[in-house]
This record gives sequence, structure tokens and C-alpha cells, in this order.
Amino acid sequence: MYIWDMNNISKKFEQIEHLSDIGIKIYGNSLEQLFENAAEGMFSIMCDLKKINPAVKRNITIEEYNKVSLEGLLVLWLENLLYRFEIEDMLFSRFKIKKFLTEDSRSIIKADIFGEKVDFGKHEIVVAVKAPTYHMLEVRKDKNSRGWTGKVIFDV
Amino acid sequence: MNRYEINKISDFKWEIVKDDSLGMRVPGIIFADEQLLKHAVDENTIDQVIHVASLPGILKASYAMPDIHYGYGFPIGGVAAMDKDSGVISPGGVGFDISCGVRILRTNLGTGDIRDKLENIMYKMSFSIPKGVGSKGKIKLSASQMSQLFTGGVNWAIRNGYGWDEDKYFMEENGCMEGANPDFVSKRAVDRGCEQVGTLGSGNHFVEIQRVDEIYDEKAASVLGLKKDQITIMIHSGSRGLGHQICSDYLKVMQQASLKYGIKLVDRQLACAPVSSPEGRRYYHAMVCAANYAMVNRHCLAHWVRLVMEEIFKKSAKKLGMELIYDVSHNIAKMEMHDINGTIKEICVHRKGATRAYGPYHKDIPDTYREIGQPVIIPGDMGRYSYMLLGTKEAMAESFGSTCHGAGRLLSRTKAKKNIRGSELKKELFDKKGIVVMAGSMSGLAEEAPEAYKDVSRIVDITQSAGISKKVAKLCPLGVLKG
Repeated sequence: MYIWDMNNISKKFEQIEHLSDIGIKIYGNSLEQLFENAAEGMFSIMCDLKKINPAVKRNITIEEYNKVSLEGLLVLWLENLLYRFEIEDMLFSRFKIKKFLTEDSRSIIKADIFGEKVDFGKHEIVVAVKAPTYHMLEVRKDKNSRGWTGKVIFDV
Repeated sequence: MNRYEINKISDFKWEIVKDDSLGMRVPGIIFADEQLLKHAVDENTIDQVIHVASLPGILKASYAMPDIHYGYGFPIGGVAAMDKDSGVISPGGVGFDISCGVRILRTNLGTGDIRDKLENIMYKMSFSIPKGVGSKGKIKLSASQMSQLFTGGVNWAIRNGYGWDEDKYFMEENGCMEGANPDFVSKRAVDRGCEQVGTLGSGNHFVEIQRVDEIYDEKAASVLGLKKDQITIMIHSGSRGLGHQICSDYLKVMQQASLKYGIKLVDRQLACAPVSSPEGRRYYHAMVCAANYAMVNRHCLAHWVRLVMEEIFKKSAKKLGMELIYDVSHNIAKMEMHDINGTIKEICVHRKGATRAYGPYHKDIPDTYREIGQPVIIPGDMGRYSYMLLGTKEAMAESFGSTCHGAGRLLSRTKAKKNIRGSELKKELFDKKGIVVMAGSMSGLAEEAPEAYKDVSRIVDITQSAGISKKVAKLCPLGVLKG
């Protein structure tokens, strides 16, 4: 069983069983960290993170002016990263959220993301993540600590 | 987990009794034998059938085909028909890979003609067919060309020199579904799709060289142009990043729309809007763009396959008899005419991991096949077999003209990878069965191992026993190209 250490969350994410697809359970001390760890978890499904050199920096900005839940925002964040992966042919392994704002009328995420171009000699890409789904989607504050947990099932 | 009551209707048909306390508007109907039903119960997949039964305007029942397994929102293998006026349309009821489907080509080659050339064919295919995660193809389109593709479907491809004119007569909707409106497709979706036409993708998508192993219905097989030991080619792919993005875009729209129209959701992946609402119509028009794109994608993949065969055999694809038998989708929502309590009505049929299976004499079946029924292509796994089936008159009454779509997973991807090594599997398939496998990723290959899937022969036998389709031929793989 996983033991929660509120001062030092060593576990960022873990894969969870789903018959046809793949899910991740995510942990973070803050929402920013939870979102960063979710991104790592998603890319870890596609490729061994250790093989992705975070050498190239890209910026990403998500601005949403409709009311969106934290769960909905997590899906948007992951979708945006998948879009960048597919359009730029880049795998990412490090994520730094610089601005994270959620209000009733707007939500903003600004982040630096780090990775490198796909190199099939180096990166074995196991399976494509098609998209994050809303099924069993969860973002919640852990009752007994300051930490956050989340859950996402991906269509692969 | 819900508590529900199951009634046995026959050995292959079960009813989940309509229960108002579970929000069910209609009963559930599962086509399965006792063992597969138990599997669905243990996996909690029945809950997903019940969730779909709660959607507004659902007609007759929430159906599940024998390859039912746990999905997200809708079960995989689910069929839900919605009233055009009071019903809803749900992007989750179609899935991310909009119009993912299968096509099969015949050849006039026999097993003996191909034996010495098989490795060379597969080797050449592995280079000429773009495959794998994020693969980009040989075709690069501008936004305006993409719009032409969305509205023209396969006609666009034929005009641009890909494939044959006659191919379109052997595709669902003649290769171009009506109702495409590029204005409702986001720039992001177009960006993702504009370099992926004619690419295979990854996961369970494949190109297989197959041998006709067994014929169950000689007359129908001869109409389909199939005989024992003949070589066929099967292609399984979908709408790639374009479809994934359209689904994602509209799931977001539908989260808001469900609230706006007061639709209670048990699972947010079931988010939906009335078929006739602006949100519902916009999704439908965008989804049709993806369906046309998916058909063009398979059409271009078939074009690359024909070119490889021409190069190897030094004969034209026409001389090799590489005609299209049929192309059919298994992830789609379609406006179709069906008999609802004695009245023929236009309704919206969602098939998520289910194949259209129209019976004989339906007007939407190619003339050549009208007397036998619509061809249904059921891919199995890479080590065993796939099937050619036909739609039946009973399917029209029993399942809105639908049947299964494949084997269904038995092991999760994680479990398959733990138990099986891709490189060993590749060697074993060659040493024991002579099957040549080419794959972009060995771990990806392990996830697709035969052991990870149910035996598709059991699934198709149940569809035949339940009357919703009829077996024509069994096809065994000789060469497999995986993404």
C-alpha cells in the first residue's frame, strides 16, 4: 500500500489497470505539481521518460474563458501537450507550471515544457495516447494532508 | 456497482431488466453465452450498459455485442439508437478514433504464389506504409485541401490519383458520408490530420496478408469472390489525430451542453446534447468529416499496399485482382432508417466497437452483394484468425442492423507486457506458424499478442447463433504489419 508522506511525495504517479486502456493515479503537493506529474505520467505511457532528454524548452499557454472544473482543466492541459507532441514531433519529460489560475470566469495555465525531437533509434514508442478521457476522472485534495491526488484514464 | 436483474432470453441473448431506480429508460440486451456474460458481469461492464440505458431518447434497448468489454462511458461493443427528436448524440458513444474500421481486398493469388515472397513483401511494406505513433505520411495537405477531403471523401482521393474509381462502390456510404461541414472542425484537428492521410497509426491497427482458411457458405463466398487458399489483404485503421481531436473538442462542448439541457450524467464521458440541438448538429457535421477522412485513410493505405504488390510481382494491381471487397466502420454514429414499432423512422444509431450488419436487399448494400447481405469484416488477433461475415434480416430487428467488431481484450495492456516479450512473440509466430511480423515497437507488439485477446471464433459463433450475422469465411494471417 502506498504511504502518504505529506512533506516528501516521492511517488509522482502510478499506472492503474484498465482492461482496454491505461490509467494513471497522480500525486502532488500542490495543484501545479499534480498537473506536472500528470503530464509526466502521460508521456511515460508512450515512452521511457529516462530516454527523453529535456534539452529543448517550449512554452505552453492555456486560456479558458468558460467555467471549467479542475478535472476539465486537467484534461485540457493533457490534450494540449498531446497536440504539441503530434504537431512538433517532440516527446516531453519535464514540465514546469509558471502560472496556474482558476477563477469562475477564466482559467489560465502557463508552463515551460522540456523535451526533444522523436528519434526512433533512441525512443521506443510503445503506444500512442489518443486522448485523456473524462471516465473516472478525478482531482481532489487529500483529506488528511495538504496534498492533491488525481486519476485519469487514457484512450490508447 | 449497481444491483440489477438478468433474464435469460435464449442461450445467446440476455436482458438486463429495466430498473427505474437505476435511471434506466430501456432494458439492456447482451448478446453473449453464459461465460462471456459472466465475464462482463465480473468486469462491471454491465454497469456501463445500464448507464447508456439512462440516456434521453434511447430506443428499444441499450445493446451489447458478444465482444463487449469495459470501456470508458459507453462499453466497447455497445449499440445505442436514439430518437431524432427526443434523443441525444454523444461523442463518447462514437469514441476518439472516429470511423475506425476495416477493409479487405481480394487477390487472384494463392498461397503457393506468395510463400517465397512473403518476407520481401512485409519488409517492403514496413518501409512504404507510414506507421507508428505520431507518424506523418507521404501526403501533406493544406487547410483548403483538407476541406475538400472532408466533403468529397474517397472521391477526393480518386481525383488525386489514389485508388480506383470502382473502390467507392464497395465502401459504406460509397466512401463519402453526407453531412460533412468543415466549418465545425477546429484548426487544431486540421493541423493534426493534414500530414497523416495514408498512415496506419499504432495500437491494434494493422495491415495483414491473409489466407482463406475455411469457407462456411460457398454461395456467399463466391459472390464475395473468395475461395479456399486465396490470398486476401486486410487493413485496420481510423481517423488518426484528426478524429481524436474532434472527439476531444466536442467532449468539452458536451460537458457544457449536458448542463444546459439538464441531462444528468452518471459518467462524464457520456456527455451529450440533443441530436437536433446546435451542439448536437455541430458535432455530427464534424464527426462526418472525420468519418470521410478515415475512409480516405484506409483507401490510401490500400493504395500503398497495391504499389508494393505491383513492385514484387511485376504485374499491375488490376492484373493481381486486388479489388476491394468491402470497407466498414465500427466506431460511428449514423442517421439511419429503422422500423420503430411498425413505423419506419430516421434515428441516430451509435456503434462503439460494433459493426453495421444490414441484411439482404437493403438499399445501402452494393448491388453485387444485395442478395447475400452486407459484408462484415471481423479482425481477430495476429496469431489466429479473422472472419468475413454477412449481415442478416434478424440483425435489422434485433440490434438495429449491428453485430460485433472483433475479439475483445482478455488481458490489459500492462498484464500483456508483463507476461509476453515482443521479440520472443515475433520469433514464436514465425517458427511455429510461419507468420512474418513487422512492428514499430516490440513492447507495443507484446500488448497485441494473441493471448491478450479472446478467441474471436467464439465471438462470431455467438453472433451467428443469435442470428445477427452469418459466417462466410475464416482468414488466417501470413504476414502482419503493426504500427
